[in-house]
Amino acid sequence: MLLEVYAQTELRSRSQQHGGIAACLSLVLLLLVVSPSLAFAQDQAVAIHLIDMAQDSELSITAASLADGWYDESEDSRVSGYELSDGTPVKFADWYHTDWPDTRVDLLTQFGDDFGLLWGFSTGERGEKYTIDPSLRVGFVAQAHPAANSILSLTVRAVAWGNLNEQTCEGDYGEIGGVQTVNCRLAATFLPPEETLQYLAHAEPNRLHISLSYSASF
Amino acid sequence: MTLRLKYLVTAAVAALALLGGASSSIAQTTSPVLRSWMSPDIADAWTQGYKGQKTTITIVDDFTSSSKFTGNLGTGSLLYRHGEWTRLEASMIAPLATIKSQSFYSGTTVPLAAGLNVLNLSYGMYARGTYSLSQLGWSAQESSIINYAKNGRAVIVKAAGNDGIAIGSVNAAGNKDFLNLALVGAPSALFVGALTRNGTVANPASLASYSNKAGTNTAVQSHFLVVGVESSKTGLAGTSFAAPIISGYASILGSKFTTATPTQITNQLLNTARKDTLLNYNAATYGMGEASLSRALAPLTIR
Repeated sequence: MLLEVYAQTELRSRSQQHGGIAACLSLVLLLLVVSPSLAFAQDQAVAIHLIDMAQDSELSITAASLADGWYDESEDSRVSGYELSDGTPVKFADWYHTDWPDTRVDLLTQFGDDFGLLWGFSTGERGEKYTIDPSLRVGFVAQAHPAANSILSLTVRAVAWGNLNEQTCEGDYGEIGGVQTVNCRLAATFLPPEETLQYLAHAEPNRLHISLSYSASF
Repeated sequence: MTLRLKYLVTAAVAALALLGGASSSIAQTTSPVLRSWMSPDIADAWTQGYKGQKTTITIVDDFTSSSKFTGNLGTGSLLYRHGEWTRLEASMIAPLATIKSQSFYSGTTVPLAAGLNVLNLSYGMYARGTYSLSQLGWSAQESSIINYAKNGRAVIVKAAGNDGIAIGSVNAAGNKDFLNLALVGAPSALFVGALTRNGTVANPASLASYSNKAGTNTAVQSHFLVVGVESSKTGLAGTSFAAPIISGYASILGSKFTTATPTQITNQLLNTARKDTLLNYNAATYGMGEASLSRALAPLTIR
């Protein structure tokens, strides 16, 4: 029964740029979906299923948005970089870019027909000026049958680690300000260099996911 | 384009004690909203919420005479005295700076406040060009200003003048601005000339025909900046209205680099001025170039 509920293996890719990666992952996924079924015969009590694999991390989106800068109302344009004092352009996109977006893998170890342990991980992500730590994902799913042809399902999943942290830069302001640790994005704004640090991006993944669902067949 | 200059002959006698002759003085001329006459550079300051706080701009100018003229800095047409205009302009560039006013008729020492001080001098002190600097005796007011500039105690922003000549030269009336001369070589003094508008690389600006230029003296060139005075938008022309822009820039810099000295603020504005936004740049005309607030705020390197 659990397989019916969770046989929704999918692969979502964040962008078309990762189409090749997505294709590779699809192949791996297909193998993983098939092989557990072979490894753990249906008559065995425990089976492992790959139930989801995706590059849909909200923190990846947050990290990518750092490259977009901010909207400047007075100029009706986005600020996505600045010039150094000698005119050399600096683009945020060079700092907040990655070749491998945070990818999560969710698996299910099934114990009987109505209970399973959810477990998995995410790979994390790294750009020049930020990191998303790898995470560990653990939980369970339990099912009940309040009536014939109906399923009440409870899913609980917790996530450990996986924080997004923006890194600092070393800005050299020469005679007027010396070398200071600054928020890379805000180094050329009017904020005093030391005050830019309070605007460093930090985000945590959704730590606890709980869902209760009910389905009935007619 | 009409220059809004006022010859304040009566002020001269009080303000400048000349040894052995008569003198004359020439006045050269808040809610934070980016006005059409302002450089887009300024907008970023407001976006980030820093607009010159913890700094003081003192406007030494005319706040008491009956001489008024009309202009519009984007807040509607107003009839103001010369000092009221320069004060308004500086406060619009650096809205959170403390703005103080001193009548240049007072002749008294200009007091300094705690923190960074910027003194805006949109006036000149004229005497016959045949005199030398050593023949002049300054009032307590100008003495204090000159000492602040020489000792690096305040950023002294001086309007270059509107005779279309090199700083330190004799004008068509046979007079020199001796306040300019007294500030040459002072580490925290800035001379400010006027461009016809804000320059860009694609559309470089030229010096306004009335504006004094840096000239061949390298000590002047190295402390000379230019900035756009968009008189077609404001009805206000003259280097009187270039200086308050630089005063505002200095104030904003001081609110970012809170421990910087007036001389460091001065040098930062000079060293980051742009030459690629000026038509046929040369140091004798434009000095160090067009002031760029965004570049003055930016680091030299980042990694």
